[in-house]
Amino acid sequence: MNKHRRLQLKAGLVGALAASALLGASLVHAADPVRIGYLIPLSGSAAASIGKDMSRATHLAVKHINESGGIKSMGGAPLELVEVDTRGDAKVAITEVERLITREKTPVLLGAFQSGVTFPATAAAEKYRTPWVVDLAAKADITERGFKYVFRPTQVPASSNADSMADFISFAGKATGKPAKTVAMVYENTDWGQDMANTLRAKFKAAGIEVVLDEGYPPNSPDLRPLVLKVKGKKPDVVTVTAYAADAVQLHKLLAQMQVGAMAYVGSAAGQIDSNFIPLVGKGIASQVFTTNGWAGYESSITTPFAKRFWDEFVATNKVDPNELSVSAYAAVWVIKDALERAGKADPEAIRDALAKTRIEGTDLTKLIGYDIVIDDKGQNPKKRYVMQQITADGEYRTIWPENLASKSYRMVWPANAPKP
Amino acid sequence: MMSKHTLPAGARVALIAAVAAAPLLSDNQYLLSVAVITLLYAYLALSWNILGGIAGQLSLGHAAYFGLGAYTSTWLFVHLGLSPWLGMWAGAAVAVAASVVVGLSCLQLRGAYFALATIATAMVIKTLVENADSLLGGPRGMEVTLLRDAPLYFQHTRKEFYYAVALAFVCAAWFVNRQILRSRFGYYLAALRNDQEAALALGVPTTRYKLLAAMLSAGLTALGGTFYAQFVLYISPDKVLGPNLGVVIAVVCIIGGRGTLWGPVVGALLLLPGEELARTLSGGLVGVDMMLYGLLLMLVIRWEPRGLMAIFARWRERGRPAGAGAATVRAAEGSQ
Amino acid sequence: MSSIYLQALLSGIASGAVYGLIALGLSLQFGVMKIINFAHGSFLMMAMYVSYALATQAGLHPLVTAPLTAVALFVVGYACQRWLIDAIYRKEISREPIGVLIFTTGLWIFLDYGFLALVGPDSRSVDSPWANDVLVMGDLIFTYPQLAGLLVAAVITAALVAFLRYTRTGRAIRATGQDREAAGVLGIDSARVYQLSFAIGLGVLGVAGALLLPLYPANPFVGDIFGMRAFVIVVLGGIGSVAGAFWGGIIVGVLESVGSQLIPVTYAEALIFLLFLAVMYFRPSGLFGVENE
Repeated sequence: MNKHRRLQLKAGLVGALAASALLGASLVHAADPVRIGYLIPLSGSAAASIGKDMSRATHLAVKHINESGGIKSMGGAPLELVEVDTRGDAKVAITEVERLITREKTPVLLGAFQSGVTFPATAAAEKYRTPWVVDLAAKADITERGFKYVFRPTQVPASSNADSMADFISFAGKATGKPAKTVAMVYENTDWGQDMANTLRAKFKAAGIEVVLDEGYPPNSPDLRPLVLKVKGKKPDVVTVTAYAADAVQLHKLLAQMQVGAMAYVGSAAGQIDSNFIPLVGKGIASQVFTTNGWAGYESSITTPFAKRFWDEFVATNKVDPNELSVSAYAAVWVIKDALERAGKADPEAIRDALAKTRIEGTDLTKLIGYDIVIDDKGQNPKKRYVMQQITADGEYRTIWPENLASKSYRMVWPANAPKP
Repeated sequence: MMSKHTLPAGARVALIAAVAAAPLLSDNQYLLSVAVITLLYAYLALSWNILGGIAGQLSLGHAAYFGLGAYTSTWLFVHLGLSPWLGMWAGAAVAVAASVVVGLSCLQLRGAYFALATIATAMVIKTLVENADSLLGGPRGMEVTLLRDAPLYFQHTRKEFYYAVALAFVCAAWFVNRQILRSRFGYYLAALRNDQEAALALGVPTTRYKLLAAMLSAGLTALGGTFYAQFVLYISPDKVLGPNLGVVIAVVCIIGGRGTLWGPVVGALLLLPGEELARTLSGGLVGVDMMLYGLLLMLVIRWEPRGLMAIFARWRERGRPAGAGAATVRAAEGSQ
Repeated sequence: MSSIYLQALLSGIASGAVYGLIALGLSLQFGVMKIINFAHGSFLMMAMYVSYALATQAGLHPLVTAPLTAVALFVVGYACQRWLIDAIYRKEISREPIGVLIFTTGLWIFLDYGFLALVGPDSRSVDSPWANDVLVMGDLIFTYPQLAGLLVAAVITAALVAFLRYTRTGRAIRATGQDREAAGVLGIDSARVYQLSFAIGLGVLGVAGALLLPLYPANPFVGDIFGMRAFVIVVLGGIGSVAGAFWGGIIVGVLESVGSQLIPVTYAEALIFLLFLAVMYFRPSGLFGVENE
């Protein structure tokens, strides 16, 4: 055999080997990953620190889903997140939505925490007929536009949160015989804050509680002292504080320092449930705070091995306890998984139809989050409830209302403060 | 006067051809998105150029006109069903009126003071809009009703539509700039920009011309605001009236070369895709893309404060024989 | 009720003093070099982080970090002027130094996002008990950081005014600000003056940052609002008047504090800008300004 022939033979052999390897490989990796476009703020505003928290929870969910076999109806296809930083900017989010849909070809989207970003970005997704699962944005209009591709399984409009705040305040007064007759409402002057304020205002009026101050403040203001002084001047029995992280910390510190002397300071499941809140204000100030929470906490929710795995791994990797935001982010991915199982293929229309029929009741997942997931014809899950928690003198969040979910081992302290001089 | 700063004819034609052909090259909606934003900023920079470049009045509050345009046309559309194609002219009228008020009170100020006054005015307008809850939605902003494909209402699902409109806008603004630069009006503006006292002494009605430049600039900017509203379909005080926007518009024009014809376009072509590129390159590293953007700004200015057009001119000078070319450049630098 | 207004007035003076201190550095730069430094807020942010690092890593009391932060910022300012800003400034000389304006804009973005990349978006506060202690006088309540802010700001302003009026270097700085050529003829090295004034400006900012940290948490974008305020205050007080910046700050602080009691807090910001515009219109040289043109 001459040299030329031997070369040809070698080439042929290599080629055959390569082809069979590829064939073998393709048989083994029969299931392509299902890619989820994930939009979340990781920089650019105060929301970024929450965004990072939620992102970690989302990644954890993907990890758990893949570890337990991926999407079984799609041959065990794993999930893959295509994560994008919205920078808290709607314009960026919209451009990224288009990139995710047209270039990355993600059949489903998840995100984006902030109402001001999620609201316009979901409109873009609707334009492109790609389903979007909202994780935590609370603006009511997101599911009030008659859109067919937007779903919100793990969050309800802000009014539900505000309802709980007002109902609790009335309840506490009746239960202890020390009712609050006046209230000062302080809220950030954004979409979310105003939504909350609108509901609170109406509910307080209906309950006969006089609103002595009703004031929005620009988020991230240099100095909230003048506002707190204004609150003090009105001598309210209760103060509601609808604020995120840094502002909530400032406000509660100032309320205590300037000795406003209200019976209780009631928060809105935002800044007050942030993992940095108690470390930054200190246990003394924190023990005067009540807050709603979209999640009832360890005692009520970590009751199954599924939930325990989530809790243990989250605490181990992040060194902080999960809160409502991380739990909602975690759960939202499982909702997508459930829909994918029923859809059977990574096709936007199929996923959309599956999401619209979501009905998750009485499972480990619903025990973890504390409510069932049933999507109505607006794409909204109306089942989520906000509980009220009190921060104890030891820096723990204990659920005290409604009574069927309240902690059995902790009794509410109302008023949280000594009476005014 | 300004001719030394324009591109040579061959490059110019190639540039226009490349720009126009881009949407045909790829069916890529994402790339088109970036292109549309780039064109929008080129348009805004060209509009700004009339007041900030040719007339030399450094306005950093142009966001006010942008926002007024966006809000006016959107309100008219959402509440009265008026097509934004018509509403945008109402927006321009509002902006022109605002510019007259700003102009009469602030144009007598010089340089840095004027710049700060324009920022302050923009902030006041922003605060007023933020507090107008029932009328303008306050901080939650206004959504433009989704019509999907409605070209008569300035909306479409395909980006090619917006690309074509943006291109038309840019051409119009470029044309306006060119006419001004070649006219007596432009000559007077250059005079008062270089030395206002001297111009006044020569009988140039400086206040009137400054005001005219301001009005034209404001009206054009407002049209851009309407375009943005129709493109993004959602406006809020943060996005269309924020202080950063006013600064970015001015910076884009200045980096390109303010007072020149092509400077604003070149500035936009460099900075907008550059920002997008920085974002994709930096991957998941948070904040790095904007950091690079800031670095790029600093580098360009360190190299040539008069902007990219001046850099191009210098490169061209190196190719020419010494003497004739160098003399024009030195003369031009002296008059700056 | 009237005690609330008195409290508002005094609180406003206390925060205004710190605002004034922040504006001092800017006033010096603006007055001497006629530059708009958009990165001023970012340097304040840097100062707050330096103070934070010193307080947490070295366990120093917040007030003790002030002189150290001042020195750090002084050095940064000197380096910045000498190696970055000066080259651009020289190219432009007369008129409005637009190049420096753009450059500092780039610097502003670079610093803000650089810190974001470096330390993350979380807000950081100083945890010392001193920061939360209050002094109660009848109906009036003050926190120690407020009092410290007022005192230190007043002392530093007085010291700086004295420096500019009575020392040789101070007078050289003022001379250069008024008429650079004439000062040059007198043998004053303008380059050194620029470096010094920029550095002093940032050093003062360093102190302001240390004073601010117990009052307001630090995050990469905290400087933006304060920077904007500083510009308003500088023009209000009068270009070229360092004492003017201090009083301008007090006025802004009081306006914000007392004004907020009377109108919704969201309008308070607009009030400050309206005051600014009014001053620009009726008295462009500011309340205490010296005509330098």
